[in-house]
Amino acid sequence: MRDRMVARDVASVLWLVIKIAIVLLFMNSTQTFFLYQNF
Amino acid sequence: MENNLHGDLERIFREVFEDQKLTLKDEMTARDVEKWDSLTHVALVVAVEEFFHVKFRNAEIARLKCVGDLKKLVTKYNKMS
Amino acid sequence: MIPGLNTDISLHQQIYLNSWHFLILSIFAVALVRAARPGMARGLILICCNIYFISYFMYGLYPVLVLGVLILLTYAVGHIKAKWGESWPDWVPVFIVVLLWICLFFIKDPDLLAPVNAFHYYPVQIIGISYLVFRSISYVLDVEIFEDRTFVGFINYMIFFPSLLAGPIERYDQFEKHYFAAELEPDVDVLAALHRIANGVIKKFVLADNLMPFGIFMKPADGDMALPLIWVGVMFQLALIYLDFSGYCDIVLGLARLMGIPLCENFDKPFRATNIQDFWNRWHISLSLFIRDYVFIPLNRLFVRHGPKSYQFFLIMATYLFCMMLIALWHGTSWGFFIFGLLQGAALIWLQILKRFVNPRFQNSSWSKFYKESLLAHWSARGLTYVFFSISILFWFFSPQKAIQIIKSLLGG
Repeated sequence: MRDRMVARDVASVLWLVIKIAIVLLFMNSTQTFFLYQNF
Repeated sequence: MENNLHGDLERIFREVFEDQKLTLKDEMTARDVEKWDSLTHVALVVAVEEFFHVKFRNAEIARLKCVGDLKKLVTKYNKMS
Repeated sequence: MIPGLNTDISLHQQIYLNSWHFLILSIFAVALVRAARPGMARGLILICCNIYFISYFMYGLYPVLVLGVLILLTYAVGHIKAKWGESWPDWVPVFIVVLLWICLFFIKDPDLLAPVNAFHYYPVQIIGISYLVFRSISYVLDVEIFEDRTFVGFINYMIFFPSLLAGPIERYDQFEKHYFAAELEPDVDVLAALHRIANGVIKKFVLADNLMPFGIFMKPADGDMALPLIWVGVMFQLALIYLDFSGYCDIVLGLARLMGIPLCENFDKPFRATNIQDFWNRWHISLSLFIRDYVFIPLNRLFVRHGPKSYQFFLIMATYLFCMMLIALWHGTSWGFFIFGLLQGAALIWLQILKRFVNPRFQNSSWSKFYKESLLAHWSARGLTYVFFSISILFWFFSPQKAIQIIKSLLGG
């Protein structure tokens, strides 16, 4: 049971790392639109 | 006393939502009753206020999440009067 | 006024949510807030983080002054109201709230009623002003039921840095309860919160920012654009706005969660909505709830109690329209937003008319059964709602003439 939970957490961390990689690769750093930002 | 409150509220609910088969539960929220939207919510609150002769604060109405909350509110005002 | 293309020159210094600066600030904030002793210690640390963040958006002494006045006055009025408000006549809180609304409109649109608008002569830009004023209104109106009011808590509530830029609009007691609480929720699901932040960053900075050029706002269909492309542009735009705004909300809610302060949700699968009322219960939820609790319910209560019974339906419909107009004009004060408000109000009124006069007649008919249970009806309703809202947001960005021209193009004209 505990092994399953650890495995689940490890998978979750791996998935998170993939997401971070996606962000670093594809994030648009030249322009950002912030449609609901308010002044 | 508790039974009276539940019974009274159930009758009010049935009248406001025009559903004589409605059974009131403490955990009931707007999501559980089809006709319960912000408009009927007002009608409900006013009906409850008029029946028990109380006047809720707007802030309290805004924080009512379920029937249980409503019961607590009515009990609180009943104790005060 | 075009909603937030981030090119305003008075904001020469900012902190972007996708910057190292913000990341480091967030890490510090989470660590310090969680490590601090509950109560005032935590409050003071939080206030340092919040002031640090907002200082990057204050371009001079003047905006600091205006913000300071708003915060001080709101707290003072709230304090007085909590102590002596019972003896006030009913119109006094209404008057205060109307004043706040007027200030908001005057600040956001310095050209509005220029001769009497102080901010026409001394214009000011304050980050997140619409949300700040709403928090003030909520605080003043609800102040009596707050048990733990502190000035430090109030400042933290007003300028909480995750929700400073674009909400959500929180209630003071909900906020106070969590950050002041003796024990921060011991089992915050850290991984879940981090995933949420990552999802938000992807939705906003990867998807929305990269795909924005494909939305109709960036491609105004000048000249001979093929009809299918115009449709794609218009329909895609709403999805882009959703990715942008809900992405921001994911980042902000995940971050606040890590600090131990759950903020309220702003979206609940909005494209599952089957009518426009359902839509507003799922889109920018904290805004809808604010208008419902502080405008719709008080007004309706007044009408139901004191209004002549024969006019009641009319009065309630007027309230719906009024609320939608407020929501629309809160977004911006041009004619386009006015038309947007009319469209939303008309749709809501139409729904209520259906509910009250048409549906009861068809209650047990086979048509009603079809409508409630068939997949075709369900998906048509969702599609129609999506299309309706997509078309109405054209008025946010384009002049009314241009928006109508685009709509004509959509219909083949």
